[in-house]
Amino acid sequence: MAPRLIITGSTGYIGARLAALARERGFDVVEFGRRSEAKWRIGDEPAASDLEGAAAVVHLAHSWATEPEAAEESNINISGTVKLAEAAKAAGVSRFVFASSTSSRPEALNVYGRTKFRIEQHLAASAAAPIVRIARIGLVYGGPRTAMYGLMAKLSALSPLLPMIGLSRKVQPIHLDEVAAGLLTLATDESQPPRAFVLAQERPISFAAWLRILRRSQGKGNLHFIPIPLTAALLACRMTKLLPLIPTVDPERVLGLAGATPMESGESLRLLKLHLADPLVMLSAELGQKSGEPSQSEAKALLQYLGSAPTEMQLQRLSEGLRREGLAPLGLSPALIKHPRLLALFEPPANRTQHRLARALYLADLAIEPERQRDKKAGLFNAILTISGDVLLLPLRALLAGRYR
Amino acid sequence: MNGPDADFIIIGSGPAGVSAAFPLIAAGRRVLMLDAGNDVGSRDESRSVRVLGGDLESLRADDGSSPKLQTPVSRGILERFQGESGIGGVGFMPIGSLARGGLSNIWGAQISYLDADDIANWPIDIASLQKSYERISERIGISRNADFKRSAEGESVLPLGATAAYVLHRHRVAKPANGSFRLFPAVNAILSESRPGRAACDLGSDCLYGCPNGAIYNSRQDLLSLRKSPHFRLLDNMRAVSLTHNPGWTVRTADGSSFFAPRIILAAGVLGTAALLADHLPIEEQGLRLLNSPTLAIPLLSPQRLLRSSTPTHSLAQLGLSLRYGDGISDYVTGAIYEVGSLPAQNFINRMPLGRNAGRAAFERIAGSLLVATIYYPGDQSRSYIHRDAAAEKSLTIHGGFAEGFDILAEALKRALRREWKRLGLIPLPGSSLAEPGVDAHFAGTLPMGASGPFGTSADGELNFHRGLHIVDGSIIPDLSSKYITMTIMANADRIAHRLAETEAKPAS
Repeated sequence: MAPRLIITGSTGYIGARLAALARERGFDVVEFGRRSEAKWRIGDEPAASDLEGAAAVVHLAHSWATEPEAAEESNINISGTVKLAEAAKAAGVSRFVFASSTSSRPEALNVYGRTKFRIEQHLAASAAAPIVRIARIGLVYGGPRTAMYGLMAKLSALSPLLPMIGLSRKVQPIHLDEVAAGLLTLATDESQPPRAFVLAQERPISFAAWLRILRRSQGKGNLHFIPIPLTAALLACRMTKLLPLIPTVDPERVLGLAGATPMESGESLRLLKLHLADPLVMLSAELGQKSGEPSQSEAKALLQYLGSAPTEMQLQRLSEGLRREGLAPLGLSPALIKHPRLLALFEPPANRTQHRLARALYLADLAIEPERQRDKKAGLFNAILTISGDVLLLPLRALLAGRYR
Repeated sequence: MNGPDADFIIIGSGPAGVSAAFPLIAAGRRVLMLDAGNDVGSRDESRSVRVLGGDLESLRADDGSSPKLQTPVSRGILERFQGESGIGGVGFMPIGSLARGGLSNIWGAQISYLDADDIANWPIDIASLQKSYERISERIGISRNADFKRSAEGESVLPLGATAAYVLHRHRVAKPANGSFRLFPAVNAILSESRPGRAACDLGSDCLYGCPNGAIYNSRQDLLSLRKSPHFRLLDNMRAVSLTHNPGWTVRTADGSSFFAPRIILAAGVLGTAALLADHLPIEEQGLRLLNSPTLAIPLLSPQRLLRSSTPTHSLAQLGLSLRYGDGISDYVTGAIYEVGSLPAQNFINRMPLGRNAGRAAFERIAGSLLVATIYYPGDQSRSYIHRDAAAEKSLTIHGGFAEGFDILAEALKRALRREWKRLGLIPLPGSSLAEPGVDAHFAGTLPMGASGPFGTSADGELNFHRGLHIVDGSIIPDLSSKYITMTIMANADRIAHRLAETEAKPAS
């Protein structure tokens, strides 16, 4: 029987990757969360039946709803984590991996860092201590461009000039895949001692250098900064709370960037047999590929719109053709990429050969040609439907086609 | 001093070049052929490569010219020619090939024969040309399109498309008022039965992309049998760039090599030959006259055939037509009728005011009942001249144009044709187009046989004042009727080569 692994926060940035990796390695993954099979929220008393027989619990969930300076006993992150760890111990689970942070310090500027530290303390004092392993995770990058990583990647690519705080702060990046591998080792490798591990690059770099790496790996030039004093940034955040109609920025996020001292990670990495890759190399490969991805998904949408179930070959052909004709990316909206049929609303008549979308569709039609079966054609009814639909939609399309000119 | 490299150097491996080579090597003459192309472009490629090109040459926006010129093969060939030949066009599309097989790589394979009237002004008799026609057709293999039911006794036939067959039937039932309009099954250089090294047409309808079976004639195929002769030598990647007389002829090629022979046979195609002779002809003064056929394309719908099923057939010409428009000997147009259903759909969809999906749905519904007629005027309706650029020494520019009053003539012809379409139950669709001069690639008449002065050749294609320099391609066709010219160019090259093999004493070997 496959060993069972319980993951909380399995829908998050790290959790999703860890769950995928664990399943890939043959684990029977049980996801604990609001939207998963075992309904659970941080703070809940977990059902013993859910925990029994599990090889390990990896606890990634964190509630942001708690008041920043709440008392220890009312901080749901602290009490909930301890409750979960003790229940696991009681149910006979042999390892409890807690995802902490390299900002975990008693004197951390941000509440998140201080909370993580307090959880670590409470776990060490709890009945669950013998099964607890703490993973202090650095600045995670790579994979889906969401969470803090997505925000930073976007910001760095935005413009060559960036107003930013905390530029001299040292960060220790680690790739998402490396974090997932480290957490899985902690959860499954019996030889690892119950202690704190640091999952982060050994050599810290400045936050400014990190943003430059993010920018360069997206194929853009150098990045210059306008340093903003922390007080001004915090003031700006408070202002966003007072002003209506603009998005509020949590000062917590700003404080998280504001400064910390690096942690020694060499020994942890050796114990876990993690060899961290150079972030610039990793990102260049990933983001370089990513920049080709919009046109690939656009190519797919165009082919699907023309009624083809696109083959890898057709996608490659069309992406290359679009690129050479200077049509990639077309700038199709995500909704169109998801629902290619909607392209019917934006498509100009095929005889408007100067229109970018019309040209792109012509190339898509050509790309299908080698595999097309001549005798396969739409039935009469479908043909009439398609043609009359086209004619009826003409005024609307004339209006909308301009969008992709 | 080294001896000559051969008795004859033939420049160009297209239909004219190979047709000249056969009689010469059969007579024991040593022939060296210089080919600007090479052997790449073998036949065993995937359909994807044939349709889109090895480097996706086809995946480009529509340039508005004919589907034939947009296929990867054509694009590769035409672009290399335009890039390296130094020949540009103003209101003219210079079409030529530096590839092995020359323009036979992209030809329509249609076969026409000239008759005594057509060559009334030529310094040759029709009997000699007819003998050559026979030899060529024997060599390349031709088929007539025919209704299966009426398949003639022993004649090589390919099935006529259903809509073309219907129209031909209508034509036979409803005879035209006068004899000015003729409609007949087309004759094409397509094999209906396999031959060594070439398979029969499998009716796969991919003709425009180059026939993977070798059923459509391409002069590359002839090179295979020519190379079996010990008297024949073919050199690849040898683009001739200059000719010098001393007292034989030395050919220099782009890579710096030079070859010497007592006689040179130019078969580089009309534009290629003009470029090679630019230094030997006083082009500066008047420009070099160039005949080409003004071309009209007309889409036709046969309502009676709507939604009927089609007959699998090849996608080259199904029917041939001719229509007289005047009393002069050459005052007639000829044409070819294609079945649209067997042609690539994209180019037709590109001309529809519908979205692509609806366009394809519409095309698929009506393609089987659609024909497209391409109509060719005789060369006297063109006014094209090759000029030498004073600024850029080596380059030539072709200025294209039509004869005076041609537009009136074109309108009158359209009217006359409309009568015939009506009789045949065909509706001409909007979108008929007159192509820019040059897209037909029926070029001729720059150095006509029988003409005196510097721009003329003898009946044997020998350039006036240039002993030992023979031309066998379309350059020496004195006047261009509206008929397809390739077969005649090949026959004329064969005729000249036979004459040369007879008259030129065989050198002591």
